[in-house]
Amino acid sequence: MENKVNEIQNEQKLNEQVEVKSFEEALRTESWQSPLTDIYEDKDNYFLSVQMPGVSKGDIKITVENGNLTLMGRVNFDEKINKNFIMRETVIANYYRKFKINDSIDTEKIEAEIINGILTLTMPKHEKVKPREINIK
Amino acid sequence: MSIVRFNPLREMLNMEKEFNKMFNNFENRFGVSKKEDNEDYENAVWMPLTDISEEKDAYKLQIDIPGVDKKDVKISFADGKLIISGERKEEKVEENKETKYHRIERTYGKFFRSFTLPKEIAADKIEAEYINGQLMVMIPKTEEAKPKELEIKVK
Repeated sequence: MENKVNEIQNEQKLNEQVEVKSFEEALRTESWQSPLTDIYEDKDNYFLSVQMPGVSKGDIKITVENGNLTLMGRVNFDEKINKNFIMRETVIANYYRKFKINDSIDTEKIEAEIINGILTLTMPKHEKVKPREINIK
Repeated sequence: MSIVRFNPLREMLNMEKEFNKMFNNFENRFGVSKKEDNEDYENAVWMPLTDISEEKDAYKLQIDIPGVDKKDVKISFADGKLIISGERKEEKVEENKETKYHRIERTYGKFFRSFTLPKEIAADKIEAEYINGQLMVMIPKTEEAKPKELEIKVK
């Protein structure tokens, strides 16, 4: 009997240690909002500039699957939700946004960086879709 | 003339400025005008969202200014007012014919925000830190303002 109690306590301790939730679990249990995004292109690239204040480099997940580009950024949700707020204007939520991309983007070469809470994605165009001039022989 | 992007907040701020002018004009005539508008306020086009939380020994401000460079932020404290101003500059995309914008949701330009702080704060110990696009301002309370537990003896 005592052993069992110990076991249960140990298990609880283990559970407490594993505080970092996976993205899948967070998607179910935490709130999410859509981040503001600028989209622009130049000759060689498409750019996404996504506003994610409070998200650090390690809390971002970017996936490309079946022509869907998914951006996820997590804030310190549990800590924020327990604060004693006098005034609150922001929404306490992680960031999630999905974009459809077509074959003109070379998904292998997509690059991302986050500086001062702005996630910038550089998505190179495939050679075949770049504007090209044809010379007449 | 360059084309200026429509910004609903700027229109609202403009309206506020007009009202302020009207009232200031009224106050001027009776000699009770206080001059508190400054240049940063006049030129601001957006206002950062802010959360204020209270802890046992400090107030904490979290001001969302993603994309603003650290050197473009100005914080000052005078007459019981904390003033935060700065500018979000547009990213340097080479201005040529090939650059094409498809969607602009973010706001750029100068911002301004001021907060009137309570008197029970240690003004000389205010600290600010800029992490991940959020400006964290720590405003410690004075010793007198901290909650104290007094044990009262029952006679």
